[in-house]
Amino acid sequence: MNCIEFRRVLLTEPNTADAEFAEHRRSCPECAEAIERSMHFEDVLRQAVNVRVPENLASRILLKQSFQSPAESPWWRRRRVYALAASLLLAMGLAFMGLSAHFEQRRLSEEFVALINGAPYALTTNESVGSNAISAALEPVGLDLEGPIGDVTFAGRCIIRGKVSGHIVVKGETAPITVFLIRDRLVSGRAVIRSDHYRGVVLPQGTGTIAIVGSPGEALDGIEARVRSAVRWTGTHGARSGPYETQIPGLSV
Amino acid sequence: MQNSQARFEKLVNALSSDLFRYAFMLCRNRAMAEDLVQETFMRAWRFLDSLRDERKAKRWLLTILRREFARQFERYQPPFDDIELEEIAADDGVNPEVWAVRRGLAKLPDKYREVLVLQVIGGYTGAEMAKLLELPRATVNTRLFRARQQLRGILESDDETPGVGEGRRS
Repeated sequence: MNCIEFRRVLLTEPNTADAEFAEHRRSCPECAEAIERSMHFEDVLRQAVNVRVPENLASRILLKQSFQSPAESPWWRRRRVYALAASLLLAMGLAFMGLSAHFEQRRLSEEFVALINGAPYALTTNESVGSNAISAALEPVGLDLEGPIGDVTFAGRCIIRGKVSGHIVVKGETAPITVFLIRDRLVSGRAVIRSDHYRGVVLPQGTGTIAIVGSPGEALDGIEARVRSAVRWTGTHGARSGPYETQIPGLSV
Repeated sequence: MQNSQARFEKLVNALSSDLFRYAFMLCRNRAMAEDLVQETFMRAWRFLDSLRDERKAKRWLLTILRREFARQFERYQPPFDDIELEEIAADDGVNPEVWAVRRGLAKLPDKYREVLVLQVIGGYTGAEMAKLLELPRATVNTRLFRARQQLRGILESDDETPGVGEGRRS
């Protein structure tokens, strides 16, 4: 490593553990002096980035999360104010029934797109997931896939409207396709998911709901048929039961 | 679920401060930064099962935060907010050198400030940041190089900050 290369690394990764960098530092007094100056600069930089954090930030995050936690009683039962808000929303929904189908479709689109964007890691894995791992991921949800649905690269769970649901990513022709499997019926009929970057479909299947979302232009007919054929709601083992399952707020059952 | 709760609390307690600092450096507004961090953790909670390796938790959360920022503030151009910065300087009682660097950071182009802050907060290598930012490693290195170069240039041009740009000389 020469002096020019050393100075370039000094401005790029000053804390590098590279052996050549360390060796040049030992052998070149001018570069050794440069790194001493740089260390002071880096120290001040660390202090500059270390801005004051709001007091009780972690507590406020945990408090907010506690209202969303599926481990707890549902949020709409916790506080009367939420119940009132839910009632108000319901009343408004009835008042604007003429627009409800459009509104519901848009809301579903936004919701599923947000779910996908919220789990970037699910889209970046490239290794195939075996059928045993898929079953293990879906078992706590109370469902299984009996038959192949494609080259699965991610199998996990997520929470949709307070409900632990299946979350699968399958390789598509142009981009990954995301499949959500919700044990309860969210929709009364087939609906389209549409956003700037995604196209998909959400449809009732037995006692549950399937949502399939891919990139615009991606053909989803094949995977839809395979998922519909493969999905089996396996009962309540490991999944929630009782009124919690059937009284999810805002559903158009 | 109890296990998930404990896992989530551990993440919040360990990483919320760094996430706030990163968020603040992105949007330069304390209220917005806190909203971003709150939303990031709410999304993280929903997808906690997808985090398989705890060692990648910070990168995972930073990725969610970046996307949330892009989603919420796609058309938002943060003003160079002297009031906000002055308030922070007073609250923190920071020394003039640190204050000068903070001002310098605020003047950097967003793309340069972001890589520099990520490196400082996360301690990431160029390769790790390339993955996080979904950019070629050469691009990340170029941005880091220019970020430090420009920041030093800003500091050297500021008469109130002797020595910071070049470091202290004895």
